[in-house]
Amino acid sequence: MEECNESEQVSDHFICAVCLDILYKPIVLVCGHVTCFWCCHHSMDMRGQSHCPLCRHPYRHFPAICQMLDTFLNKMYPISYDRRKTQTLEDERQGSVGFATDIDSVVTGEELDNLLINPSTEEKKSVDGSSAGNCQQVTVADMLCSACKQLLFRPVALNCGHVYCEACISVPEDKVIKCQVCECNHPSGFPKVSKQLDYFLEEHFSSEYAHRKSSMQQTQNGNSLTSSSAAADAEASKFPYPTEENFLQWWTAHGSKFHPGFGCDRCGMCPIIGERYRCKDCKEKSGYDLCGDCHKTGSKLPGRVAMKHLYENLLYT
Amino acid sequence: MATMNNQDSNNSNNRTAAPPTNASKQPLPTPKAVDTQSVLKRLQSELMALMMSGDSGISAFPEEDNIFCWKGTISGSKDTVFEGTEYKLSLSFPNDYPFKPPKVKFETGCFHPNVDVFGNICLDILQDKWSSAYDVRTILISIQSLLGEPNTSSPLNTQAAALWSNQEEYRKMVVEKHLYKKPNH
Repeated sequence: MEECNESEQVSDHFICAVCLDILYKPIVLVCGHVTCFWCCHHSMDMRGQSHCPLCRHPYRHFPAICQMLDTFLNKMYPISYDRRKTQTLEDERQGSVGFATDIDSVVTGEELDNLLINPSTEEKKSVDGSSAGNCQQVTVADMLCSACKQLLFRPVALNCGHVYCEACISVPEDKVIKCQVCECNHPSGFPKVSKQLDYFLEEHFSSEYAHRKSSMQQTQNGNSLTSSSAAADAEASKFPYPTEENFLQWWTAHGSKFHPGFGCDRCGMCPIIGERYRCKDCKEKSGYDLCGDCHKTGSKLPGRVAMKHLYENLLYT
Repeated sequence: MATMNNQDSNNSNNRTAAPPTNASKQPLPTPKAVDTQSVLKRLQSELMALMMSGDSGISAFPEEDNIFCWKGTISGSKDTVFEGTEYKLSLSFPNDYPFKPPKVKFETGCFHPNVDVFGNICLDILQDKWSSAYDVRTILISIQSLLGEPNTSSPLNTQAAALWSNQEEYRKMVVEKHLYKKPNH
């Protein structure tokens, strides 16, 4: 629609390496690389270990959409973002998987209903809304750490999509990092700094960033970032993926616990290994699944893919 | 969250008391249906980037009537036995590109341990090591460097692999085959 007169020059930091377009509904992998929600979803290996398209870093949890980046990009590049939104909604409507959601959209459950019943309402809203057309100035307030509420310094994102300064993440004794905002576990080991975002912050908010840098150096008491990858390793050894050599052995031990093609809608583990709970009254083809651990926690969060659903009464098979 | 239907049979849930019903089936026709429009868009961006980049020794353009089929050329790198040679390749992109790699073949005969007589290439990034962040440019650069650094341990062309240790003889072979396969020059 607006393609011909799109005048925004999107910074290279925000171009998705998979679709080569502006990042839309970005997700941040544990290695710090950012792609679009669907670009990551399509790149994943639903039957085994997935790898980052950029650095091949293995991961087994599909991250949730990074709400902060999503809002930020929408503010920064409203025209391009709107174009992507229209395109993606069109693709999602035609596609078989459903609509992408993020964890924070739990408050907007009603909107998701509208989206599914009458998908055009969502679009109308965006046109009516202030985002269309006039580029809002992005400020430091758009780029705050979820913990210290200051400008992000060396940003890392957890699996749930919430962003912190690297130094604001503490690794608890059980080595499983927990998000302070949504209380989701971050199962993938200590996240790496998102370089793309970091460069941008340094460029765009140079004075604030420099200020943060100097204050960080003062307070830095050799904060040993004892990588919690130990926890991820422990999980990996509990449920290893098959290799060509050990397939039969693996199958007898883990085969029945392996659910290729199904991902957990809470923590994003994909494919689910271990117990799998599937919602019985989901009408959506994609369904709503939980892994054993998340079922125990009793998730009331929306899934990775939107559905018309009451999260309070899930029945599982 | 699920994306495919066929793999469910081997993990039927043993916690269910009720017999399996149709509701648990996953009626998804194409596992990773990607809109053709987005493939077109991506190929267009690649073409533009490739033209702007001005890489020497590699080039690629779509065929006139089909943007899913490209013709590429690479030239042999300096200081390798392939120096001064030029090879034509064909790239054909699947409908779910870039989530699946394109099929890449040599159109010009290439005497190389990892290229067979039909022009098929044995290169991991075009098979199981493919990543959706690769593009035409990185493929061509990879093939270009494969020329000078073959993997002789699992060759498609055993004759070429055996001769590789003798670079002088190999060079003669390359020149001879190359001229032979280019009747127009």
